[in-house]
Amino acid sequence: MHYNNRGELMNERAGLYVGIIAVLAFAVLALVIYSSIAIVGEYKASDYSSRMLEVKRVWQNARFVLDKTVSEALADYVIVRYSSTGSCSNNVNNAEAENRAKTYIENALSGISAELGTISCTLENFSYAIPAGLQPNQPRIEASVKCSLDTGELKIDYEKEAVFEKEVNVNTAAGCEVTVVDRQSNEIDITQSA
Amino acid sequence: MQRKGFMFTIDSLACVTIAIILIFLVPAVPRIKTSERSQYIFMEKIARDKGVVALYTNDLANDPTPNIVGATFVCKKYFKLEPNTTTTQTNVSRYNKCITTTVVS
Repeated sequence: MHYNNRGELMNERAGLYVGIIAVLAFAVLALVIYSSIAIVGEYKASDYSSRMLEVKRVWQNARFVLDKTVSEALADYVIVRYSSTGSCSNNVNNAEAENRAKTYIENALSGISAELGTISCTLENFSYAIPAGLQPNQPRIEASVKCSLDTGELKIDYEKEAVFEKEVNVNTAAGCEVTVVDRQSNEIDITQSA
Repeated sequence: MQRKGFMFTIDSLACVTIAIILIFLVPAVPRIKTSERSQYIFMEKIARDKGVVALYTNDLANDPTPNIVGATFVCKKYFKLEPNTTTTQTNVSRYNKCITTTVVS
């Protein structure tokens, strides 16, 4: 222990203790800053994650809608052709059936996008074919659908291909009754009569 | 008169005490404010999962907007095609899937 020039008793370790307090204060300050940044980062990550799942959810819903839409397109095509030509045929291996299916898909996606506003879905790629070994009434439709969200700060694109395999059957007993079956589930999607 | 060094005064003890309180309190304050948001995020996840399950179980029923005083609810929009007997394309129709929570006192 010693006295300073004013006669006050000085602790020789005062400098060490003050240094420790200073380090502790800086540590607290750094922790406060880090916590604030971490909270903001966590908040944003959680927000972005939620929006990504939302886009995926919309895509999943769109896929189910398009599954029915494709069947409706095929059924409408058969009935329209019967009305104009008198021929009730289950042959859908032609450009008119293909174009109708594609148009129906695009219209359905536009309808969904218009309702949601924030998320929009579009048809990116489309193919319509009768697979080798199958009949002209068993088309396979491949539609690549992309759903997007753009808030300015965050842009999310979710694109995936959906495959629809259908079978068109007709019953000419009373006019023209068309039934479209989903070959992937063996469920009847639609039955329609002229 | 003797004057004790800083470490031996009540000031230093108060300083350390304040520092320890800040260490625990400051990170907790933002989390208190975000707890309500966390609750909403949780409900939104449940509402989304409920809707997706409904898609796969073909449950296309519309959940009406909850009308319970004091309830918190989240609704998700879904889309379906209504049966159509014409040869023109059916417009997509919207239905909601909602979950509701109420605080039981």
